[in-house]
Amino acid sequence: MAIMDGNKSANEYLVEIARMGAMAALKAPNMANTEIKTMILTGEDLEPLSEILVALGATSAFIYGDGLCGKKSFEAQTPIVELLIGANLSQSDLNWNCGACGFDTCAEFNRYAKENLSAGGLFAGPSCNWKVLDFGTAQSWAAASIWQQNVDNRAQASYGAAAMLVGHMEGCTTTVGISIGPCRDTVWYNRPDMAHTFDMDKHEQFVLNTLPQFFVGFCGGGYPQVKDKTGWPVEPPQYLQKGESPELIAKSQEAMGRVGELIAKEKKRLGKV
Amino acid sequence: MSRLYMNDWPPYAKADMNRRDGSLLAAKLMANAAQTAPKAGGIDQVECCIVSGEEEMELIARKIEELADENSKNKMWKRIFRTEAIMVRETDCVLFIGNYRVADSPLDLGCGVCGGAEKCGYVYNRRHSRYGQIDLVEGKKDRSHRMVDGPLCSIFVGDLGYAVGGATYIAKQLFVDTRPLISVSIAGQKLGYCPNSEMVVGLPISSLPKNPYVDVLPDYHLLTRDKAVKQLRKNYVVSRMVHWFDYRSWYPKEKKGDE
Repeated sequence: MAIMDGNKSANEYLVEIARMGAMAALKAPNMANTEIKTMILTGEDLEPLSEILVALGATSAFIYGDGLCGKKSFEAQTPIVELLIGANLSQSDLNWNCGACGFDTCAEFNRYAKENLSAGGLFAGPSCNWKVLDFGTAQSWAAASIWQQNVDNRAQASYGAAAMLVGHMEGCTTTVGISIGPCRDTVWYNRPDMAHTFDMDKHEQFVLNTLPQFFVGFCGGGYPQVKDKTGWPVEPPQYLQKGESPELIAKSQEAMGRVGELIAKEKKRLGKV
Repeated sequence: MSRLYMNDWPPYAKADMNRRDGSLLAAKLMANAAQTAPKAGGIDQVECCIVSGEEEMELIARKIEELADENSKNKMWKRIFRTEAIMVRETDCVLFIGNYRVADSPLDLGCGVCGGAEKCGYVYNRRHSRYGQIDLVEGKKDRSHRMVDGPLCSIFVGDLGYAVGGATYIAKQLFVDTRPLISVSIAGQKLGYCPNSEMVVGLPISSLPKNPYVDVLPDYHLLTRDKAVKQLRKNYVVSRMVHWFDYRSWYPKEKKGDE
């Protein structure tokens, strides 16, 4: 009789859990004849994606978090497994002519989509919305089935986009990754691996950037002051205004440079150049 | 001591209503699952409505039959809608799940799913908007011919898919039959069950001996169980009547040779 390290065994089983997730994605109710494609990434084929996301995350908090938690799971030798779910959503074979895409007929949409198929910030479009709905349902069934197996998991556009950038999931216009594990109470919620990634100054700046309404003073005069210090009424007044940020653009360009290097390196390793 | 007797026949009798209560309970749990389903940013966006009762099912079925003629460019459309109207008549209740952000409150992520490189401009440029807000009322008359008032934020459409997935997954766990149907979805949105949502998915739900949503016949609208019963009741009473037999005074003799 063998004695197994239960913790190690549990984490090694994550690939089987990913397979169950793929089965669920394929069984999910499908209204619009959407063809779902799945792929499972592990180990040396997944760790580079975490690195790419950490680099890309220099100007995006959610991408940074997704990448960092993945990276730390590899450092802790309890690596995550990624279930990729994708589909080509850019053509409609339905002839439902429903208007959800903004066109009166599927034929008009298909013509427009063929001529204008292009990448946005994360994925390609345009997309037929009933196929998008099926795509969401498939991901939901995968995540639910993995959850039933008592493993922390989270559907993440970031891993899906990174996978497509290095050449995986050919033929798909949109791919989402479900990060599975490691076997612990919370991984992707609360994110304990991100402890001490910001101090109070950064936290206050984050709230000012994302929820400025908290900081806005009396607006009756038309020029509300920012309440960024407790003594704000007698400090030199600060106001919110919109404008470009050369600093942020430079930071983003630097990040994209690093990301480009990592993508090229991974593509070379995969033989996709 | 009390008894709760359940059976599926005849429809809407007390025993059948007791049985339907289980489907209603499942529908509520499915609505919960639609709310807790994963979604972009954990943003609130889902509204649900559970509809039941003979009158309501008939209302939805008739709306579907009305919509059956709305898409002459698609030969299958009418057949699909006529078939699914029958399915609704055999349904215990319908869960409608709507997303109230798809049309006028995009995520603003710039992901590209709806329009590619145009990003969120794909929606904002095709809608009336100001102050970063979309006005759905403006120009609605010009768009009233559409079954769905698009364009829509596709990330939130995907989240509606997540909600549908959560609901149908729970149905599977509870062993009740359900299937998202396009006809029920569009009829439900037009009837206003999810009043704030431009995109709605309808999930008819049943706990019957045979799943009403699969294994049907061609021209199902002419070969329904109700039509079979109606036909049988007509034929049976006439046959019974004209086989003149005074049960009080005689009984048909057995055929010689059979003894």
